[in-house]
Amino acid sequence: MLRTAVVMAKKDLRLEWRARVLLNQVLPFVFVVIVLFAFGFDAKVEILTQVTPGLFWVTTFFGLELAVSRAIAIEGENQAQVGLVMMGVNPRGMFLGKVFAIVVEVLVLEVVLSAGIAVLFNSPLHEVALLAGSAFIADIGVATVGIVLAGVTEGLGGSLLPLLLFPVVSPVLLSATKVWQYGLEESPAKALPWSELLVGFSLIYLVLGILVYGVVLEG
Amino acid sequence: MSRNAKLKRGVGITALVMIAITFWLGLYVTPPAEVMGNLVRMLYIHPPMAWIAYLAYGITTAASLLYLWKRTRRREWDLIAAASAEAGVFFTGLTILTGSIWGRPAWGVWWTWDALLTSTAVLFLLYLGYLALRQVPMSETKRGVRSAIAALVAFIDVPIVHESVYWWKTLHQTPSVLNPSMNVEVHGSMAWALLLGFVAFTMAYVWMVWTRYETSKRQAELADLEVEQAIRERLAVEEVRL
Amino acid sequence: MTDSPQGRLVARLRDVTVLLDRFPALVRCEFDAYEGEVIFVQGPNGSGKTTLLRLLGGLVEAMTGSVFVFGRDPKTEARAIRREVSYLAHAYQMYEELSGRENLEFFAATAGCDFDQALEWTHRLGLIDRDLGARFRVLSAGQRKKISAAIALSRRCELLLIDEPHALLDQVSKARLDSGFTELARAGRTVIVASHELDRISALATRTYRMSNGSATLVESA
Repeated sequence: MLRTAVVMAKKDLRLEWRARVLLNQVLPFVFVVIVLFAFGFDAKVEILTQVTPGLFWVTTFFGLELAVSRAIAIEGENQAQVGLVMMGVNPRGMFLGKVFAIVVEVLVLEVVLSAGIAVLFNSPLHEVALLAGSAFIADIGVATVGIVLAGVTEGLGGSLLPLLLFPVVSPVLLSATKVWQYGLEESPAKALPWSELLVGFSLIYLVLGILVYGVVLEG
Repeated sequence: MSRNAKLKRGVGITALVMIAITFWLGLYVTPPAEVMGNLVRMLYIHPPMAWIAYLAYGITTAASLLYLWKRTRRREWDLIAAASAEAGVFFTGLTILTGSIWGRPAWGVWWTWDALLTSTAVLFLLYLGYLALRQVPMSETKRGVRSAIAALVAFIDVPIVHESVYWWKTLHQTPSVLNPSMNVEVHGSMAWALLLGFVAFTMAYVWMVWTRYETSKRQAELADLEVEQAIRERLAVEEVRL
Repeated sequence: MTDSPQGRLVARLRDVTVLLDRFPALVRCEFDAYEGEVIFVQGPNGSGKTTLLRLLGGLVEAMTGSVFVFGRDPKTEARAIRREVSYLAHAYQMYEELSGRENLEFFAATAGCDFDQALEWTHRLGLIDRDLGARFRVLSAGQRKKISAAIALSRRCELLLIDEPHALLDQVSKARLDSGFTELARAGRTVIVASHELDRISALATRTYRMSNGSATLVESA
């Protein structure tokens, strides 16, 4: 299972690097968002720092949704997925590999985004370990649910995935925003219950995804 | 009329009667509460509706699981899951509506992002998503499997959403004015009315799901007949050719 | 399962009806395949050839009738069956942004294909290393087909299901592909080829089925 996952992840990342779909679509959006917000709030640093967690996570969620759609679309292009199923590739390995690739792609995005925020808003990032750790776990949570739901809505029209995905992952959005808020305020202790929720969510859906992905592929 | 249909009609009529009695008890017989006054009368219908919303979702998930597991996979489970979800959307909508009506005089606003309201709104969205998924044209098995998985994903989500929204609103925040008026002491005729409300709306839910299920079943059976016809036609063409 | 003088029974369909979203793609279909055969399934578009192959590979389910592949029922044991089956479909089942070679490497690593054999097949079918180094996206339809075929042929398995392999190939490649089928059959594998090219395969087929309107009729036994 793990070997398959590694090969799948490498393949997905290589495909993204070659096509640069996410990079070309999401990064410009990220910069536009940052600039707009700075402009809109008249670059008042106090407001910007309050707004940062929400801004960061809404943008990241947009990136996550795109990454998930893309991950499934790749397999549909020449019905590669059918080939993989027919050849008996372990669906759990496929699932883990795709999750991993998405997380890596979104982490890159998040690094750029947070650097942009730190620099352009003059708001230094405190508790970086907490911020990075929570981001990593939140990404896993959304990626796992995302892949299952993307598999379920595959080929049925593009607007179904966001409709299903966003309500389901709303707790992640809430928790991650809170963790970042407390991290930036330098009161990490308050972030504890929220971090636990993030870990819980991600674990639950990681397990569910592994169990259910085989069925999704057959359906 | 068959026994099945008679039973169903019986349930429907009972539900109707019980709801009527609940309204009568609620509006005329029971006394107004101390703090809330006549507003407490919402108590007899709002919590029952919320209860049904969650029950409906539970039934949808249970039926979905039964459909997913290959050994128990039958079309009937898929149809029950869908019927229950439709009833669920209906009752969730009503819950939000009655809650809003209750809230306006109590809190002064039609809507607020308090914990329970928000998670109910998310529940509503999840149900809608499920139904939207089912609307897309696809083969019967595909629809059954895919919506079952969606139901499962959403069901697991409900308690998590609940927790997170509750924390968001209550942790690190001074108790808001929203809560005190929710505490009501229930006794005497009020208790009976409340109990009746629960039973009445549960029966209404059962009747709704039953009716919807029967309709869907009949539709599916009709489709089966069309398929059999198509098979016969294809065979006939082949025989002629030979 | 009963064997016959023809050898070990690999697949059997009896009175099989398959629905594709309410359309009866296969109607009371009967079919047999024995070890080491090259079976030619011939028929016009829409006659059910692809569905037959997909049924044998466990990709679709039979509504009625009995289906056995290697003694197993695909409805319940699809995974076990697929281990022994290789399916060359209409779709290329490749990744656009990887090169032909990288695609081969990927499937070799994940799907039980022999990389060296696959490479050999691509050369046999007329591809050179430069073709394999180019991204799949820029290859011609024929080149794409050859790479897909190479993967399917290099999979270590007992049964090959080939769907319209000749459509995009030139004469020379077609001949080479056919000789490949014969070779594999002689080595003990079973090859079922669906095609509407009449003259092409009938020469090397052990038996031929003709399909129309979802039913299969045995045409000749060699």
